[in-house]
Amino acid sequence: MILDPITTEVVLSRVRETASAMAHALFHSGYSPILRESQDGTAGLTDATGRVIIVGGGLQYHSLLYSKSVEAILARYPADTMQEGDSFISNDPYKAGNSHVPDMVVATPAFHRGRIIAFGVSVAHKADVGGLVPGSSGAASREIFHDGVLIPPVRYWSAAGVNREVEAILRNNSRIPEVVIGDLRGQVGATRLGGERMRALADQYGVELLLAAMDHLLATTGARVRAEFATWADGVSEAEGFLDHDGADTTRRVRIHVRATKAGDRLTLDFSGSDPQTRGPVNTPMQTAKAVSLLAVLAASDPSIRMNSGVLDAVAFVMPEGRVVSPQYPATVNHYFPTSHLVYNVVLAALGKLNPARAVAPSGLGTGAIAVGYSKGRAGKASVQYEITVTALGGTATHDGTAMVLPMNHFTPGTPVEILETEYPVRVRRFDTWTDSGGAGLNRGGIGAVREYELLEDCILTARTANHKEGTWGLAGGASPPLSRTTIAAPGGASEDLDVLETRQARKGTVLTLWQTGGGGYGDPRQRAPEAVLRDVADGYVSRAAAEALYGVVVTADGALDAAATAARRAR
Amino acid sequence: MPRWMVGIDTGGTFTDLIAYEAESRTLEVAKVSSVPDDPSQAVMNALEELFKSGVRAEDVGFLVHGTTVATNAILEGKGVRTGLLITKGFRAVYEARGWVQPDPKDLQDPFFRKPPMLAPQSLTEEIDERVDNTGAVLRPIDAEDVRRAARRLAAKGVDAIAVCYLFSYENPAHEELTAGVLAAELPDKRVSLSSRILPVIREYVRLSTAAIDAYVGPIMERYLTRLADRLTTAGVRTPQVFLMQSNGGLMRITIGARFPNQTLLSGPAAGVVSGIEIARLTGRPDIVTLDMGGTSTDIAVIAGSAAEEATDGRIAGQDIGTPMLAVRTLGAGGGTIAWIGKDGLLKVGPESAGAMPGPAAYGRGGERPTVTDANLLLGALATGNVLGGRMRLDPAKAGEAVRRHVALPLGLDVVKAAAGIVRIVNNNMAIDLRLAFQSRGEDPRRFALAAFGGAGPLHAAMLARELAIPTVIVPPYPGLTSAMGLLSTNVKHVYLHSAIGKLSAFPVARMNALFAELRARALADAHEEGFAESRVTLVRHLDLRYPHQGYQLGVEAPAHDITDADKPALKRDFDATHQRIYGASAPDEDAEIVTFRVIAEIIVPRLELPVIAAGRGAAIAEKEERPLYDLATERFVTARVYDRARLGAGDRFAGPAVVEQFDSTTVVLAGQRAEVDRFGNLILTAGDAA
Repeated sequence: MILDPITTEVVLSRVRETASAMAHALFHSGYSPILRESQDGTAGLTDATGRVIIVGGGLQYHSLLYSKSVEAILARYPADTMQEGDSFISNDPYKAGNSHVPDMVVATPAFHRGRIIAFGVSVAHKADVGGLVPGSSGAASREIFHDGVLIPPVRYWSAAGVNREVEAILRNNSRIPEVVIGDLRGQVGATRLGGERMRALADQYGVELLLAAMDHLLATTGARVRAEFATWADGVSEAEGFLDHDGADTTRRVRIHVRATKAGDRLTLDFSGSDPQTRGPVNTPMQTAKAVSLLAVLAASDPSIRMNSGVLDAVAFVMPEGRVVSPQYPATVNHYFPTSHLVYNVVLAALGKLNPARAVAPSGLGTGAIAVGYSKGRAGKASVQYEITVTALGGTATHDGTAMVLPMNHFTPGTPVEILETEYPVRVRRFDTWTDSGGAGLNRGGIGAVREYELLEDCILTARTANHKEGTWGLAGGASPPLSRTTIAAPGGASEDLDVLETRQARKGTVLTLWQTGGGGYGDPRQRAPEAVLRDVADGYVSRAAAEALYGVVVTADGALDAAATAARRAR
Repeated sequence: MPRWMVGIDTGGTFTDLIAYEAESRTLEVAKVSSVPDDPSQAVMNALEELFKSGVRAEDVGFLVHGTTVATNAILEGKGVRTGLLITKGFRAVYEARGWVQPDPKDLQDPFFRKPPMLAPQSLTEEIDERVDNTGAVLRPIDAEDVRRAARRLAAKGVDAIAVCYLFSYENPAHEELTAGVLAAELPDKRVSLSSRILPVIREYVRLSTAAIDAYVGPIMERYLTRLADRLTTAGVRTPQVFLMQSNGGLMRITIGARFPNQTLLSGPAAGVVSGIEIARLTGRPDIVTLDMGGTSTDIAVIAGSAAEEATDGRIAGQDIGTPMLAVRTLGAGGGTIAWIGKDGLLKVGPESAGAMPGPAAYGRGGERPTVTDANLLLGALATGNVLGGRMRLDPAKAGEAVRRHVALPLGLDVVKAAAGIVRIVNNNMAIDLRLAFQSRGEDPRRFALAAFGGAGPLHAAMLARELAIPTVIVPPYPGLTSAMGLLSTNVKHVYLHSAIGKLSAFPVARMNALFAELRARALADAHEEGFAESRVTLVRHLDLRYPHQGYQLGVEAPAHDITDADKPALKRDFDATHQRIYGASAPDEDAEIVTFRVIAEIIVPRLELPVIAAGRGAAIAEKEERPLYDLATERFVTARVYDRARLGAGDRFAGPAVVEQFDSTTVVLAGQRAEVDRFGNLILTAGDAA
């Protein structure tokens, strides 16, 4: 079919609109704060074979999960057995490809005159699907069964309505079944909306044209990425980074390594040098590792290219079975998020060497979450305060890194202090800029934050953070930022470090402090303009001591630049 | 008794004036170039135009102004040097900016940057004080501490200071004490207290809103002083001078400097007000507005004659919680540029050629093709009909731009390329229209599309057909509709106060006390504006949510003192509203009160659109015939061209047709009929002319 560049744009804009409408429906019909407030979910479309067309929402790394899910569902329920009104679900990372067990996948075939033309797909985090701990993701997990109930691809909805047997099993396996079912039904609604919109588009523009436009989207996406690669010099680069440990063996760090080979207009990412899969829960399912790698590819080439399966055309992966980025059943994966963030940083670092024009210092490590479970919350009811930990972006060739932002394609409004204290028995004692937390550089890393809580009731703390020993790094002479850390002080007791993966009982009056680091520095800090360093000191981003030690800039006690001392110091 | 009412709306390109005299039912309009460096000059120029028509300055008895002075200060980063006082230990509240990466495309860009902080950390001072969520003081404030901070900021040369302490909406005493100290230490500097400007929960948005107030307030004060001087000098003596606000209401210019934030999106709000007025005049309570100008299009869904309110505004990346009318804006206007994307497909916008150089057809050096150029090549626009013939359009220049930048690269002829530009920009607008309907939970087939702005009526018929909207309404002066909105509303102030608690358990005495406090504030402002209490209408709302939701919905509270017996009805209203908008509700769950709200309105004179003379048949207004490209059939058809000024009430005709007037051009498609109503509105419907 010959496509004209105007109709194709019109139709593809309508497909983008469909994803926006689906995401809107998902975030406004969901029941739990995780979905409604943190927007920890996506909704989008694949074609009839499962190739990802578009992901609506801030977690673009869900993209490749859509493919694996639809393929798995099609394998179990061949297309010619699917009916209008069907919706399928799964949350088994090894079957459906979701990042971890709490992420539930919903897929709904979109029919046009009896033929499947697309799937509406949604992935969304569930507040609890059973498992060892409330919230399902515990540090003590040693196999996937510890992470919660595992639903294989099953038909959850049909023209006759919801499948009550499946729903009964789900209800029976959650600590908060109403919330889980409410969100799941919201996902079904969003995917059905997508199906209806696609059917309407097929009616309006012709089904062949719609399908050809989607093919065109994938083909041009791949072609655009290849065209970007073609402008890079051929070459090989490597990068690596480490997690502190896997949560099971705390003595051994876990290595993520990539070897990137760019030849002509193709790129190969080889993860053979990454560590074997771990016994603890830091493994990341392969689709997630690949998807974040592709996001790094777009970040290092042209971020205006929107993620879809077409990017895969330009990139080949070497991922031997049984690595931490390609775990085999039944390895546990519940703590995949910091690992996937590290994969993103490592791939971005390797690609920066191949395309220096877009090289950036890496973002700060230490993303994850803290859950505080109170047996009696503000209203006397049990409640769980969930805090996502955020770092900052690294410096770039043109400017300082952006402060206090979740680096990897995540979209999470933070919880305001006033909301937290109103809803939970907690007092926030500090939410402050962390001086010297941005890696020093010609363009320094974005700065990080300190968040300190006084817990006003007895509670259970679950830390699912990362990188308290192994941090990020600088680029082109830039410095690494300090390490993220979590400290805890019992009432009247001394402060001690909490491990990255740990669950603790905490008494009323305990003080919990999250030190969330900034990004890596870019370029030699001694080349940074003294006036810029002076401004940083005035803003409290850099201390006078660090200005002198790292930047060679001497600032007097009353905040003036000592030009002579600075010149002398820099001449050394 | 001065008889003329005058609305003057400052836009990016033009400053529009509309004036009306009720007794003789005379309307005068004027359009002058805006003067970005001195907007009050353009206001005076517009008045000069009016005075040329014989109206005298002393005849002006009522004047409303829509200003972009505060908006431009933010867009251009030209506010004053702003200091900030915060609770000790909370420097990250502003720095983190709510953690959010505002734009989806930024998500995957490691070069992403946040918008600048209006008060930098170097001008931020921490005050050792703390209030908890019940308003109880955990750590008392020390005036000496504030004084030292004030002196440090004074030494750094700040021109304004924002103050935002935690939980100041629960207990403003610390902020009030701070204001007292600052008034003594920095007597001539603006102080912006978050607890006065936006006393609602969520510290970041409250802080950002207070920072905006401080940053633009002094600019606004200067502008209003200058404007008042010039008006006085020119002989405009009436005290009835008002400013348009983002909430769709007016405020007396004398208190305008106190509420600069209220003017930030007053331009789009004026368009929404016009939409509400069109709904009233035409007896159609469900209207969607399409206000398409030179660089952008504003869309608002008005259901049941009511516009939607938003408290999550953003201007050039700066978050603002001040209540305003909800408007969806996209980069689609006459000057919007067409280009070929890296995917080989045709794109239109969001970049605009603006007023300078403008579309290629303007002949001012613009070389890139715009929506206006495409409309000219397709026969929708005529070469001579821009601003009543004051400007000519050059089809050769338009054709060359479209040929070079669209037709050649895509292998199309120029007409097909121009048609493509219009299709794409229409599609972009249709998408935003659909998303606007979706977020309001409404069905477009129940609505009428009110099309205005210079370019809205060119595209409205096609958009209505695309969305199955049955009716299009083109008001008499589409290009001046925002200015007309200035004269179609009341004085309006919205007072908010957060107080969180379960509806069922919330003490009614406290509810009544909170409403009484808001009422007192409303009456005090009305007094300052010179209105007697008897003229003030007060409506009370409660913003409710289900526990843990991040958004709330307003329901109207009874006018009498609330008793526990009123609560079930409030809950039912909330459930029903939630069901209507989000398609779900939880009648068994308790609702939570988040914010108390009092809306004060004072009726002031309005423009009553005059009834126009009955027509003597549309044929009289027919000027000529010309080829008009029909996008549906992809060929030129012969369209009759009508002069709108000569159409009378009841005149009707069928498409394909083009209706030309001073400030706009309306396209009527084949298969549509048009009829002029008694107010001069052009009503387009599907079907043939009778």
